[in-house]
Amino acid sequence: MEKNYFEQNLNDLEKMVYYFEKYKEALKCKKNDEANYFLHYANHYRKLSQTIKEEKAE
Amino acid sequence: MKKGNITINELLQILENDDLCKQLLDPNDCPFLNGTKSYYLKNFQQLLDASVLKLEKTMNFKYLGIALKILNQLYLQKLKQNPFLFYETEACVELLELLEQYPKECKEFKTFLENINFEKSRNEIGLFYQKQVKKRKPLNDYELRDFLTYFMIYKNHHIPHEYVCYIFWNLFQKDQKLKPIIYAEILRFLILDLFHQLKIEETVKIDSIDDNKPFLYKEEQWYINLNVIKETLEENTNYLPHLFELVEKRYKMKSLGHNKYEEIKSKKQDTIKKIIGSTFFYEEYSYLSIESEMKYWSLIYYFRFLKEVAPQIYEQKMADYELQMKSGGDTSEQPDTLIITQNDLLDQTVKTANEVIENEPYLKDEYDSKGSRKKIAELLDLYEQEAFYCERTILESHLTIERLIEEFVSLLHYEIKDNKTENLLDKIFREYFVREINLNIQTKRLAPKELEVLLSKLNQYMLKFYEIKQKEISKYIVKDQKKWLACNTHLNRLYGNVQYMTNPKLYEGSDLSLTQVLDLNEARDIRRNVLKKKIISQKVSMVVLIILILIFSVSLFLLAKTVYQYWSASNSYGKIEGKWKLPILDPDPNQKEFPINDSIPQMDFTEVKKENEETIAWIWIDDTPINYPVVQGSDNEYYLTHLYNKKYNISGSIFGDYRNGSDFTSTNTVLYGHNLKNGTMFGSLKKYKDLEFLNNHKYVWIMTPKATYQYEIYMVYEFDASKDHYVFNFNSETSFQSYLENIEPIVSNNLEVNLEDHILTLSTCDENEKNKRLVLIAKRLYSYLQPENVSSE
Repeated sequence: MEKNYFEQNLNDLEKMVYYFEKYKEALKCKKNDEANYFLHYANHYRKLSQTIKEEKAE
Repeated sequence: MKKGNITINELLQILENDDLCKQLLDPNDCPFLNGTKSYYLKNFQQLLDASVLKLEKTMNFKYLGIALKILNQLYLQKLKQNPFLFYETEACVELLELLEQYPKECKEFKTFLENINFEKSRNEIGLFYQKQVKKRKPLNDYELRDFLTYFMIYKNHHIPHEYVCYIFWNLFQKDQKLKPIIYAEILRFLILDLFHQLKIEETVKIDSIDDNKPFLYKEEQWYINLNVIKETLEENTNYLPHLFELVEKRYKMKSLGHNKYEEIKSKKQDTIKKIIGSTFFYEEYSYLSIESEMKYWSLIYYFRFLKEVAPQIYEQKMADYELQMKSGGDTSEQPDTLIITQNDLLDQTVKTANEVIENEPYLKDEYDSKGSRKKIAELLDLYEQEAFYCERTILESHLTIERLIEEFVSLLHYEIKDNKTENLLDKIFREYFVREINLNIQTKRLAPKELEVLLSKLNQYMLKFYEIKQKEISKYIVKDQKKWLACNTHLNRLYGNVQYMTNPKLYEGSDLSLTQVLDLNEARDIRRNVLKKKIISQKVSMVVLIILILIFSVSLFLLAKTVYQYWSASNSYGKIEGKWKLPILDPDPNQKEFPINDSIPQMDFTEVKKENEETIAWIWIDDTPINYPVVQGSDNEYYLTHLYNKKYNISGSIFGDYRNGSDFTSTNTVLYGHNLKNGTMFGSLKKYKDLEFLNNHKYVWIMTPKATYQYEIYMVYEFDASKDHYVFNFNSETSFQSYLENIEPIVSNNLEVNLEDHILTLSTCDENEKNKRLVLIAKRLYSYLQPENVSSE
């Protein structure tokens, strides 16, 4: 069964929010490496959610 | 314009006549829009596309930071919550990627992010809604919007489904005036939720449009097939159909076919109502746009941002245009087609920055004419400060001790630039924290242990902070002593306050006034005073205890002494105690003197006299403890405290008045003795107040070396010892009788007494009153003389 788009999308966005939160935590603790790592993932999921949108649009 | 989509002109026609659109572009939200409404409407499509994200890409990123700060500020003021939820996070992530090439701005933005506690506010939002729902309080527009966003992301966490339904149901029933977007959101969430529950596949591709598919995805937009949804809802739920009716009724929203659309378009009817901004008509179906609605929220805040600069730009442009017109320039460009470009915004922002710098002299020193970096940096700083103070105002309305501690601790991270931070911390601490603690004590929201844990935590934080800050400000000692002094004073004051206020013992009584401002020294003094008072009270109680112990031991000693003296007295009297039998007599009543015989009790005084020469007689009353030698001293004091053998003892002796003769020849002979508690000496005389006892123990035997006298007690009375009462010899019968008549007896037997008789007075203290004397009077009945004293007649 095709994966539910809404769920998928929401999951990606949720992950984005989750990693962004992690990023901010790391930022507060001045852990720059960790922060960059989390930001990378936040960005990744943001793009992923957009890609899904685009794919679906096509 | 794509097929099936409404053209901009068509859209504008609808929008211009649309109440909903007016509502959306609420003048209260964007007051400046009144004058420039047509301008914005004409560029509506452009604005629609330019969501914050898109705007950011084309806009100079430097100003995005400011835009975000303004957005944040507005959110904070309006929503009193942290705005960075879903879309904002997306924007932030993207922005951070963009900023990678620009380290300084990136750093500034990161600092900005650091100071916003997202997670905390998110949790608070959840709890807040939960509370509101439980209290069944209606949410306002802003709250509702956040609630919906929150619900979408965290719907399984805090808010039970039934509550959500309840809220929506209430909203519609009460017919509240809500923004169209709210209705759109509600519909969206409810429907999504419902379909999720029913496990209905929502998506459908554009190529395979099906009457029965509820959702449509087209050109990055989601649409809801109202008809299908309505049918589905009617079948499956109780509340949604009604909800849907209400929405329809309000907005006269109907499923419009293509032909009908044409009809409306041609007649320019204003009956087309939309849930939000744009309604797309695709083929024969009416769909409700979903995604674009969300962008409106970004736009609304974008508008707010614009209101800072746009009117000025617009006025400028109008002025330019008019000038152009006057100078006969190219008039092909119409004023209402004037477009505010991103460059315009940028220019305006730089202009504003310049103004700010002009107004703030301290920024001027750092002004860099080459670029706007520093200006912008200063601007960012200004906005950050504003946001910071906004947060403080929010703090006042959302106080909990936990939150206060968080805020307090987060503030502790601030660098000390001046006294502001310390002042603020102090204020927060004094005004809010202590008030909250008091409230907690009153309402008992926190258990005492929880409060104690919180307080000790805070205390620890403060201790760390104090150490760090002391180091930090120590650099001013050389550079700027005044500054150091000020910082130090504030720090100390704060430290003192925290140290003092976080002492959980302070709150045990809860009557303490905690609003007082304390210096470190004051706090110390107070603690010292408390300690002193404690020590003093301890000392006082020790002294009292010692005194009590002393009193107790002294009285114990006195008691023991008394008991010992009683014992030793009875012991020494017991050694010489005589033993007699009551004689059975039947003497001639006309005769008063008889020679003594063996049946009469008599005493051999040789042994007794060896002990004390002053022994004059022996007194005995049968069946009582009275069986003692009688002594007579040179005064009436000595034998009060001495035994017959002259040993000191408080029991004393039975002694005759020194004014009497020693041979009992006086008309009235008086004998004294102590009324002892143990009944010895004359302690048994009090029993004579009872007439029956008197009649059973009425004979007193007095044994002298010359004779033994038998007396009969016939009268008992009391008198005041302060007066000299006793008379021993009487001149006449009258004086003797008057002496006796003056007596007010307690108990009396009628017995005739005249001057020829001898009476014996036994006197003792009254047990109840110190100055009273209890007296027994006995009349001599018979004298039994020793042979050598019998008269020859």
